[in-house]
Amino acid sequence: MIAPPSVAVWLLTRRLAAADRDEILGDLQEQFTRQVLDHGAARATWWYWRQALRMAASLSLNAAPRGAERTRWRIEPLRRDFTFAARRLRATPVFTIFAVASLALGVGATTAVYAAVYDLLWKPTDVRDPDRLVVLTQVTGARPRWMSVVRDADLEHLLSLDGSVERLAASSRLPATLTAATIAETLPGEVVTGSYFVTLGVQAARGRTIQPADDEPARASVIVISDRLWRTRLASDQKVVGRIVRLNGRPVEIVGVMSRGFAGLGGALSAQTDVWIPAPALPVTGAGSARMHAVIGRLRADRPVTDAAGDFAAAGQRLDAMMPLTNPGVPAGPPPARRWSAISYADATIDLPNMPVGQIVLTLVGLVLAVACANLANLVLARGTSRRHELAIRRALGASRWRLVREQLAESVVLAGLGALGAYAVVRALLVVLAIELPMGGRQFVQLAPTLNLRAMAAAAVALLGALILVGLVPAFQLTRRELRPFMTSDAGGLDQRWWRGQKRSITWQVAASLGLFLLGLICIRSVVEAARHDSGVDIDHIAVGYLSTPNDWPSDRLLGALEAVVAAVRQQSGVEDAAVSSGLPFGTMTPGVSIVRPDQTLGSGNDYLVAATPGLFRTAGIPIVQGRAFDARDRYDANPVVILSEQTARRLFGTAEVTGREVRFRDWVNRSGPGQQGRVAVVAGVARDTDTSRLFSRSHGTVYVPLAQLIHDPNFRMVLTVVARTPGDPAALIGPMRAAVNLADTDLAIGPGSGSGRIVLASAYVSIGILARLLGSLGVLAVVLSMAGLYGVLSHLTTRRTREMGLRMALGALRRDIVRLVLADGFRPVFEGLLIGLVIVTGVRVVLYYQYGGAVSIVEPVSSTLACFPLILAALLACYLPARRAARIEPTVALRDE
Amino acid sequence: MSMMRGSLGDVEHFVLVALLRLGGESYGVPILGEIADRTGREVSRPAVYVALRRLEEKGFLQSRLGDATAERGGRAKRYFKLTRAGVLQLQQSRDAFRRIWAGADHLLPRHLR
Repeated sequence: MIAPPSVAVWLLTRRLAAADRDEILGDLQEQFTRQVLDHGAARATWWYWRQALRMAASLSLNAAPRGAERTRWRIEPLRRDFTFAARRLRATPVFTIFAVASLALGVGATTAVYAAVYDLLWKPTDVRDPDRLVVLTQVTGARPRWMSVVRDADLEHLLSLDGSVERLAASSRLPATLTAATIAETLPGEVVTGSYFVTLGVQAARGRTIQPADDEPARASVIVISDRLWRTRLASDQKVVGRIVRLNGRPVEIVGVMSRGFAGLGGALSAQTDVWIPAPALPVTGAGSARMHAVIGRLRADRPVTDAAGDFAAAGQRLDAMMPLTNPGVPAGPPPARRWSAISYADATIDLPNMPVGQIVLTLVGLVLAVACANLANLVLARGTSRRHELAIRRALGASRWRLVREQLAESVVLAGLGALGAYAVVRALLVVLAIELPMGGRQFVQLAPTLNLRAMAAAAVALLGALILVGLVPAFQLTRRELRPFMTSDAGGLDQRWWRGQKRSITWQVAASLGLFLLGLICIRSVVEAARHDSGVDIDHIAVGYLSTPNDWPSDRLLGALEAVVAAVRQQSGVEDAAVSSGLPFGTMTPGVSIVRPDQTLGSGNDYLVAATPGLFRTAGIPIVQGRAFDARDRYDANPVVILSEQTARRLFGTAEVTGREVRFRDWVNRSGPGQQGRVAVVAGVARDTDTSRLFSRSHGTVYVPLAQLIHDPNFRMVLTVVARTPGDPAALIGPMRAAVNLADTDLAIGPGSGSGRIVLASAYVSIGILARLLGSLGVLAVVLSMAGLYGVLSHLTTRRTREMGLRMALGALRRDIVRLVLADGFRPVFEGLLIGLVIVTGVRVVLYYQYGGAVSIVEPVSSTLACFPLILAALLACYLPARRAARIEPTVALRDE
Repeated sequence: MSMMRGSLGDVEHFVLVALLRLGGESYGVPILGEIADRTGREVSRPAVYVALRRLEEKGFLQSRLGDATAERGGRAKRYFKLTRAGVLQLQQSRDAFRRIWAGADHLLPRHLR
């Protein structure tokens, strides 16, 4: 059941008298439940807030009990302060809007971005005491490996180890196909020992975890699923515990759902596990599919990690003596050995290369916050000067200092309250926008699910409120220190020189920071635009790519039949123009390297990529055939072997000559020492337009296309199969129908994880960069907009304040254009200084980027730099020019009278 | 006409009639619903609760705490019941309305022109 918004309930609980509380809250909740059913959660929440605010505002229902005059006597002036403050704010709507927007965007945007970065990089895992947990490592090369290092056969021996660790567990990564009413999907899984969850010290959010008792082969098969799987694929089913689903075709019972904070052994930045399976539930089939395990252990109290390292090393040597390793694939070289050691789990899971990104984003977030603070301070300061006159008069008439301070405080509190409401809305909206699956390259995704981080929000709020309240109080306090008379009579001296200097400096730095942010955002956005414009050769915006998981033990005939059925079934789906099955695409998927030569040459190392495909691939992926023909129904298993070459490969092999009909010889280069080392001979049927290969933007290799029917029987080629479908509409929406079609074609086939639109699957790294760039870009735009608003507010205000001075100057003979020139020069100086500083900083960053990325970023970009300055210059120009012109137009005598 | 502990306000009047229609005893949600349905407009929620309190103070209603249900988040209902004084007051109010309206209906359109 959906609960009413907690903040509104809290508000009502505070406001309502104890005797009424239960009744009114109960009535509201009852109606809220009905609203949810009738109009949906969003409108119901909105309705509840409206009712709550109305109830909270109703004085007769909430006022202190009648007769408590003392309370009323204390409350009344406070209430008057707030009413007065609200009225004053309403009288200056521009200031109020700018100040509230500064607060809302400053607090809201920074908190939301912080939440996203935190969720990605620093979210604490649920693992208890990760420092006291060790992982077994295999020492090879520079970085020790710890995933998949222990063989099945060694595991039993190792798990009975007794010494520095009190408990040991093992886990082995394995994709598993889960079939239930709503899904049929291959998911990242971990096969674990019963001690796994106890060793890690994590608890299930629902149901139970896998226990040591589950290691008994006689027990009923059980699995534990991830929070992500539960929410995204099982619709947050409340009765999920106890449900029977099929895992690789065998019935298993879901006994638990893990909490959000634990997504597998790999840690936050690794591929996240969706299913945990005790070993007996997924028996090892066949000799070739032995598993490799990661081993973790919890240290006994007071034993250091080095003790565990020693224990593991000794165990490795004992095992080497008992059953030496053999590696049939590598005949020469030193014999392999179990060179085991241990590091702490905390060290193993921190992904250092990703840290700077987070720090950069956080620095930018801090900068935006600083700009927002400076902006707010400037606004409030400018407003304060205009009130000094009024405050001085009231002080002279007998108002107490405390009263003036209190009024100012009340105004700040009202502003802060409005700002907080705005910030809350901004954060809520942004958190929804930022809840995305972030592609991490390959088939890995990280589910970004930022949650409201109260500490971050509090930090941002304190910074802004500090600026608001401290700066807001300045004028009220100044009056106590100084002579009142000069403020009362007029602002004759124009602006207090020292004060004006301070404000100028703050304008300078605000301009510098926001320009810097904006230009850095532009650099990122430029790279996104380039990626979007780049023609990869494959029509990635109109295709969906699904990874197909197939049973290992099928004969190739059966597999080929099933694949043809899949193509036919996917073509039947509405919105699908064409479909094909292929062993990946030239870039973005794992494609085998291939070595291809003319028949008279000898086969060398691989220089091209191999794509085996059903006939429709070229039409489906939008790769044009420039010579000869595409694959068709003729290219069966028993027909003459054919290939299609990419232009680059054709040019390299045959120069500019006609290539159709020529013979080539090719070989998968991974198996160069295997039985297929003579390679296959085939006739070139056609030439396809060049595409990127291996990854987006890379064209250093060519591609060899082979009919899938002619290669699938060759045991030397092991391929990852993909279903590719073309649509004029949204390709991401095609994955659902594709899944259904594949399941319809053959219930043993499934679409695996990592599937999605062509852009996501094939160019995922650039999608992530794109998301980051858009984030930074919008932070930059936000900073500039805030600065523009602030700049206009402050400068126009300051210029207006000089009306009297201008009158004096004109009375003494100054011309109008002199006045305008003077004002513009004074107002522009801090802005220009800020622009200069900003440009210098950005150029510095560009120099660093230039040397880091070798010319991908140019040092000076006159166009974007000039364009970025425009909004700020425009704001300053308007802010100075309009009031100056007005001031210069009025008669000097009138201006001199002006107060 | 004797003014028995003050006359009824608009909302108070609505609340009493709604209770009458609801069988003499009910709680907040149906009362609010009945008023909204019959008058065709949303009546201010605080006003209804204030009216309920005041009517109880005047002795026209009696209240008791009812059962708590899950859909109310485990909170109890407060049932209001018309008292005899309440029914009499309602009758008086209705009669007063009738009397002051007697023969005035046809005057409305004339002033709307």
